[in-house]
Amino acid sequence: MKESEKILIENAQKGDTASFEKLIKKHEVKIYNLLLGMLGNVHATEDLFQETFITAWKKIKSFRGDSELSTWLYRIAVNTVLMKKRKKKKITTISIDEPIESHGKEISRDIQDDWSNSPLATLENKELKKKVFNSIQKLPDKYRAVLVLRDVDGFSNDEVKNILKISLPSVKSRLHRARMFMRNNLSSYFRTR
Amino acid sequence: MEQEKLFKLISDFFDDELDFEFFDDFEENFEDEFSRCFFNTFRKTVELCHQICENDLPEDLHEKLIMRLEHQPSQKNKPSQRLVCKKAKRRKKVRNIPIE
Repeated sequence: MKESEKILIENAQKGDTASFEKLIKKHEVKIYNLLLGMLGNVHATEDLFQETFITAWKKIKSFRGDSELSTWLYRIAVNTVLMKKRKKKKITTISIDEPIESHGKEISRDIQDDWSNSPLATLENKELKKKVFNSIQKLPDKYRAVLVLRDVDGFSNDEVKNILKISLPSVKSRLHRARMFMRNNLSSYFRTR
Repeated sequence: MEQEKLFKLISDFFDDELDFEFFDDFEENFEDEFSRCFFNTFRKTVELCHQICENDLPEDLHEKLIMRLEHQPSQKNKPSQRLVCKKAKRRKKVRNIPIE
């Protein structure tokens, strides 16, 4: 951790809001994008963005500096999302073990066309971009958190492990299942093109 | 490349020990259609996730947060909690007044 950040944290722990605001400035874009990736909705993201930093402000005294501040903030953000979802309960996620159906017929997950070279396989294709976002939203929470942190935000497996406080094998297995789910969902999109 | 070998390599990729580019040399050697198709679509899926761009913060969100924070007690002073405690004590006292 940089010395300047240490000083800002110490000041914030003494109740200095100006120092805390500087810390917010440093991390807000990353936190906003993590929340947006996990929630897929701007309004909900704005609410939980504020909640994340308010929780951080309330708990800043308990931050001991064992991890990076960013890791601590990411953990608060992910927990805020999970708690909110738990309260809402009714989430329309699809089990990643659920068979894929198309036109009333179940499709084998394994036999699919190679769509990787399709000119439509780019995020400039707005329809596909929407499909990617929707697919992320359909992932069960624990898989979504890992996928967003790892593949969207670009953290390493080790960093994801520290943020989510789960074991490395769990990170790997959740990431694998999340990616497979994404691949299946995108394949179903290309199958209907 | 045999399926078994392919999955072992993908396992290395999950362990952060390998980059997808490593597979470039082998792509033409995939023994069967399934392996080639699986690998290409899997790789493209991950690449598409990597391509998701960072969004800017909405214009007034930072200001909204700061305004809320200014009205938020830090952990140091918790006036709202203290207020509740005093009120609760007062209520308790009132309840304990003996009825004559």
